[in-house]
Parts: sequence; structure tokens; C-alpha cells
Amino acid sequence: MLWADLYDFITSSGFLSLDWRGAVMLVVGGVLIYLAIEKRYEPLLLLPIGFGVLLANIPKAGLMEPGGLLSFLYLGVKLGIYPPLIFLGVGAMTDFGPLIANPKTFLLGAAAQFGIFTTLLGALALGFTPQQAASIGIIGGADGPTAIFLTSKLAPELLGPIAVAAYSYMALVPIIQPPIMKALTTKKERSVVMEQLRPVSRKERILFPIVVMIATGLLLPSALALIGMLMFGNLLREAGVVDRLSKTAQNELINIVTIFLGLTVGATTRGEVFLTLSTIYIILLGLAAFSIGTAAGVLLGKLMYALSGGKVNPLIGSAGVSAVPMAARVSQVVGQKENPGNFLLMHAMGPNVAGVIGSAVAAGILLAILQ
Amino acid sequence: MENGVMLGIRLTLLGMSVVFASLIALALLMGALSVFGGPRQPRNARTPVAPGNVESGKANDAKVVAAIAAALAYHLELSSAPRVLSIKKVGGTSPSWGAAGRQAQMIERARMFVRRGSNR
Repeated sequence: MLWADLYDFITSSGFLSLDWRGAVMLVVGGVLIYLAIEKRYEPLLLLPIGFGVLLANIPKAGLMEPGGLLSFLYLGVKLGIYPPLIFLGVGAMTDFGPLIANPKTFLLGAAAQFGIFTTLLGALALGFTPQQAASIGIIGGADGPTAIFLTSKLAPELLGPIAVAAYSYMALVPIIQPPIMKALTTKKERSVVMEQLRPVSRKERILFPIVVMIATGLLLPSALALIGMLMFGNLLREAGVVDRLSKTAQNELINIVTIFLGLTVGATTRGEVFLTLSTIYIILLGLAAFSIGTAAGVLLGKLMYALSGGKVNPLIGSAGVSAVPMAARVSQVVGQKENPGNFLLMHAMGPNVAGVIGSAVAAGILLAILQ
Repeated sequence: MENGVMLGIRLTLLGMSVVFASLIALALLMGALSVFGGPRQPRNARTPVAPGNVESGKANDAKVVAAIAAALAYHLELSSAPRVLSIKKVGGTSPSWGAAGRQAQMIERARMFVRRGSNR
């Protein structure tokens, strides 16, 4: 009897059910956790994602099976709730002042979305369905919540690899972007010192989120969940009369949602789903999307440099991919290497936050056509 | 495959057109917004700061200058206080990114100054 119980216990444990895919995924989860803790690569997301990978690949635990703990938390992803809530917090944390002061930088935020659509073409050529291709292309927007939002609607089966690729590339912005920026610009262009931005009035700051929400909402209702929450968060910040709500959106709310989002996105990476040729394609296409977006932003920056008589530093164009604020910091660092007295951060924040709006608009278009 | 690529080209053309059109429209709206809701002072109205002068005419300017010069000397580890050419108050309407940028630039310049030595 005792032996029979012991036999049952051993056969019900996960050790005997752990196949090579599960083992590889446990290593992948470990690597993500290592990158988050030791390398500080997007730790707020890579740490929960990495742990979610571990949780999902423990055999027989069934956390993502119907009725499992993570399956309930995953409803927030499946129903498209978490990404807009993240945008609410992002809006409350974002200063749109540089964009309001220099609206021309909206164009740079638009150009950087070119990577999304060119990669969509590449994914279609590789045999992905249009919905899957659009979800892969959106990695080029360098915007994690937008990528998750679109993928959960169009191609939920690819959510794991796309989320991991999107956040990995966002973490690798300081490594991926500088070579492209340097290759496409001359020393003279990189050394341009831009004029100080004008001050922005409180009235403009308050009107901005309202005007943007109404305009984009009317033009593209499918993008309203993201843009609407982003702008509502920003209005909480700029109104100056709901400090408690603004702080909650910036801290507790976004932190709680980040934990749920990270864990459940990580938990979608079951070995049998993740370790496929498609994942390798997604990783490569994501890199292409990111690089093309960066290059398109810089090239439009060069055009603005030429048209403005050398007043615009093209390096701020790369910040049009919406990894906020890393992409803007990269513009600052690369610019300061050429001219230590140069200061591009606030100029780059314009295209950077425009990129957030641009990638949400791009997601709205893809959703409107392909859903 | 060909249909897929054709769909991709259509999506790319339509998508980029709508993204650009939307953001250009927003840029124009922001331009209009600055006319109605922008700061009251003229855009390029910046208070001229002459070398050797100190902005504002408060009675304790000399004390403020001395305090700032002493703080700079301490921070930059100089043997004597630097000659202050101008002091300008940073306006409260400045964007927080602007303030953060200025601070980063000041720290970087201070580091360069210390590295070069104070023999200017």
C-alpha cells in the first residue's frame, strides 16, 4: 500500500513529465530573470515575464489551464483590459510639453512607424496570416502594451513570442539604435545644437489630452481604448486638481497591472508553443521592424535638417520609436558624444511621445482592417 | 502568397498614409492651440542677460550671488569663488524634461570643468 502511494506520488510529480521543451523554457525564464536583475534590462517587465515563463512550464501545475490562477489573471490580457490601463499610467507619467512646444516632431513619430508596415510585408512573405503579420509588425512600434493589445485581438496564439521580442528589443534600444543613427548621419548633422523650446502654458497642457482624444477617437475609434486611456492619464496629471488619482495611476495602478500583465504574458510561453520556427522568425522580424523604424525616423530627421537650414538635429528622429524615455536618452547620448555641450533630450522627447501616439494609431488601423 | 503580399502593400500604403495624416492633423491642431492657449509673452521674448549683471532688482541680490558663488566653488572644489557673470531664474513654466535636461547638462559641464582644471 505504501509503495503504491509512493508510486502515485512520484508519477504525479512534475519531474517525470518535464520534457526537453519545458526544460529549455525554464532556462529561458531564468535568462530573462538574470537580464532583469543583473543587467537591469526592463526589470519591471522582464522579471514578471521571466517568472511567468517558469510558472507556465512546470508540468502538471496547470496554472494556465481553465480554472488555474493565471488563467483568470490572463482574462485581463485576453479581453484587452491591461494594455489600456498601462497606458493610463503612462499618460499620467508623461510630460507632453516638448511635443506641444514643437508640434513638427509629430512627423518624426509618424515616420518611425514605417518599420511596422514593412515588417508586416516581410511576415506575409514568410507565410504568416495577415493578422499574425500585423501583430509581428507592431513590434516595430517599440511599445509593449500596444503590441500586446493588438496581438491579443488579432493573433493570441503568438502573444508569448511577440511580447518577449517586443520587451527584449525595447530593453536593447541603447545597443540597437546607435549604429543605425551613426551610419545614416554625418558628424556635422549629429553636432547640431537645437534652439531652446518655448514654455508651454497650463491651458495648452490641459487642452492637449482632450483635443488629441477627440481628434483620434473620431478618426480612428479602434485606437480609442489606448489613446483615450493615455490622454485621460495625462489629463489627471495636468489638471492639477486630482493629485491623488494622478499618483494612483502613476504608481499603484500601473504597478499592479504590470505584475498581472508580466506574469500572464510570460505564462503564455509554454514550451510546445514557444519553441517553434515561428518564434525565430518573429525574433528576426522584430529586430528588422525596430531597425527600419529607427532608420525611417532618422531619415525624416535628415529631411527636416535640410528643410530647416540645419536647425534640426536628425538624431532626434530615432526617438520616434516609442520606447519612452530610452529612445530619447539614446538621442541625447549619441548627440553628446559628438558635441559634449549639446543637449537633445527634451527635443527628442517630442518625437518619443509622438511615437506612442503614432504606434497606437497604427495599431488602430490594423485592428480596424484586420479584425 | 501573392495575394498576401498585395494585401501587405495595400495595408502599408493605407496605414502609413493614415498615420501621417493623423499626426499631421494633430500637429496642426497643436499649432492652433498655441495661438489660443499659448503663453502670453512673445515666443522669442527672452530676458537679455548682460555679462556681469544679475537679473531682478531685489535688495539681497549681492547675498544671493555670494551664496551661489560659494556653493559653486564648494561643488567644483575650487580654491576661490568663481566670477559670476549672470544669474537667471529658471521659470516655473519650463517643462520637467527641460528642467531635467538642464540639470544633466550642468552636471556634465561641471564634470568637464573639474577635469580641465580651473585655470580659466
